Amino acid sequence: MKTIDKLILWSRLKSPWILHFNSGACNGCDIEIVDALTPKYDVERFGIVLKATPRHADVLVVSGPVTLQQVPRLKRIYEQMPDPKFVLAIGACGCSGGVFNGCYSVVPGGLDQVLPVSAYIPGCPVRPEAIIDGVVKLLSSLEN
Amino acid sequence: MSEFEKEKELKKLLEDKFGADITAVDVRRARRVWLEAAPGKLIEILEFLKTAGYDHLSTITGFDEGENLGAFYHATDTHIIATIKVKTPLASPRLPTVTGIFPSAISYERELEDLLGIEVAGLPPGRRYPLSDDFPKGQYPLRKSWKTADFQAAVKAAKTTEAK
Repeated sequence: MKTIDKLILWSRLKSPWILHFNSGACNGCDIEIVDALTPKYDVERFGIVLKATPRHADVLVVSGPVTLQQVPRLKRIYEQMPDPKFVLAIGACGCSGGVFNGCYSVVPGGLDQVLPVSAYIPGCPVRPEAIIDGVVKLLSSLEN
Repeated sequence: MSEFEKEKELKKLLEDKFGADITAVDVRRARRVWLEAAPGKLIEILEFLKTAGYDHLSTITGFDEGENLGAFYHATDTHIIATIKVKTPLASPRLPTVTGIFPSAISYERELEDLLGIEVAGLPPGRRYPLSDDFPKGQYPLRKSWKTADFQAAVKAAKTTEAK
């Protein structure tokens, strides 16, 4: 590995900026995501920062079962992110559609039918510890 | 004071005004009055109710009875709710719009069109609500005959054509 690549990898691991996208979630997971970011768990001290635009983000954090109306919008947001990009499916709904699977307004099968998912974090709602664990596993997979 | 005095008062008011045009006028419990009418009479009844103080259309409920589709129109004076049942045959479901009397009914009527496939005559054109813009045509999720599996097959088919 070249020195410059090492440097890029180091900076990537030390500051994964995330974008949070709610695609039809009940808001339970969104509260837990905010919980993980704010002082009690405070992942910001590790450089994980919530960004307001996909153009600054490395990780797309998607909660919810993905409604049909949001599919083109979600894809557009994903396409705006710079490479390399990662997608986290948050909660039972993001992983598989959850209780909404089979409903007339959601994509059958969950988020991975729409975008390539890097990590699945199950739970209803997910615990902040689980989100942190998922992010850490994602980052350590990059390291190798 | 006898039980359901105000409810019976409304029942009498409606029966005197519309006579045989309304059927099954019923007071079963406090603060509710049920009646049934033909789709052609709906506008007239709602206009009458609005002038009589029932000037708030709290919601419209769609239903599927198998042979008939239809809707309940709930008009209220914030004390008593008058519920008008209107039926329309499944073969050619069609109801008049009530947006002329209650403009806010537009979202409920779009739901009737999208979810039950009842054509609402006179509804101004606009985009779909509440289903997604690319939802397969001719599928009405709240009909009893609608099956999730059919819909999922249609979504898959749409995806394949999109990929081509």
